[in-house]
Amino acid sequence: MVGLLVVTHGRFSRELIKSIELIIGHQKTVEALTLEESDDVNKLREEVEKKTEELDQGEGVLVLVDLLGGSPWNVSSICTKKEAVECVAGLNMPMLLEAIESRETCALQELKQICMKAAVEGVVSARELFSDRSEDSED
Amino acid sequence: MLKYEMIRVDDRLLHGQVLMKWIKLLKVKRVDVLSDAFASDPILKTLLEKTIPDEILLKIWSVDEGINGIYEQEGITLLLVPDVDTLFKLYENGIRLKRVSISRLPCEMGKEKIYDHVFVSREERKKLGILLNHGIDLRIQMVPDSDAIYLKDIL
Repeated sequence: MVGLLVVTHGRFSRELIKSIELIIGHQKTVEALTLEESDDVNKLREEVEKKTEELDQGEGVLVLVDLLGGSPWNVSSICTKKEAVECVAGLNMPMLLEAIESRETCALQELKQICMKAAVEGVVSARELFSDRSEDSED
Repeated sequence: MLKYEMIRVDDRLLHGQVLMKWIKLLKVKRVDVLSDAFASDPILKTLLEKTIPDEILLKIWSVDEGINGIYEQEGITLLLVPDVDTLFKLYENGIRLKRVSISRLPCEMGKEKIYDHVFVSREERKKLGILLNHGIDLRIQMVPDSDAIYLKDIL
């Protein structure tokens, strides 16, 4: 099973996991790290390095972060110098749901790809979606 | 000679607040980073270069290279330095400091808190004092919409 680590500004990572648990039940094996305003970024770097090693059960670790260019990204993306670690920015609920659902059946590279796809496909405008539907029903 | 809109003292250098707020506010088209740690590590260097939006020119210098580079380059930049020592080195090398914004200096052994998220050693405090005595405007400010704290009022 691919290891999963979520790293964000503030408590977003922890709270997102809690929110997801409302949908799919308790998740024991997703780890979250947070960066608060007063935290030392170098300490976060060390924590990310430690966690990525701990979580690797032989199938690698996927690290999901909130924002391209933010400190969580800066410290996590560096870890991809190891083959067994992948890192993706742009965390949202569809992305993390996909990661949790598919991590047992997919290898790391494939998991990364479908998580990125899920994140993008999860961004939908209701008006556009509904207008597509009404056009479909007219056909 | 390179002109700069602001010098930012922040151990995180390029990160969310800078990308989302400061670059947009200052309307700069280039960012210069002075950091021996980043300049000497190809992976860290690539990380910053790949992260910055395409329309922004990014230069990462070692401190000594950067101090000379400022004279040779053209344009208007946001200058990022990781610590008080680097800031002071700019001053010692005759670079006129204006609009210096201190964001975050992390807590370490032997450092004293002067404001939220800003910790300085005795040596750093001395250097900041020298800069203040020379009339340099030093402020603590995280993001543009937070209040600026004038260092002369609290140091």
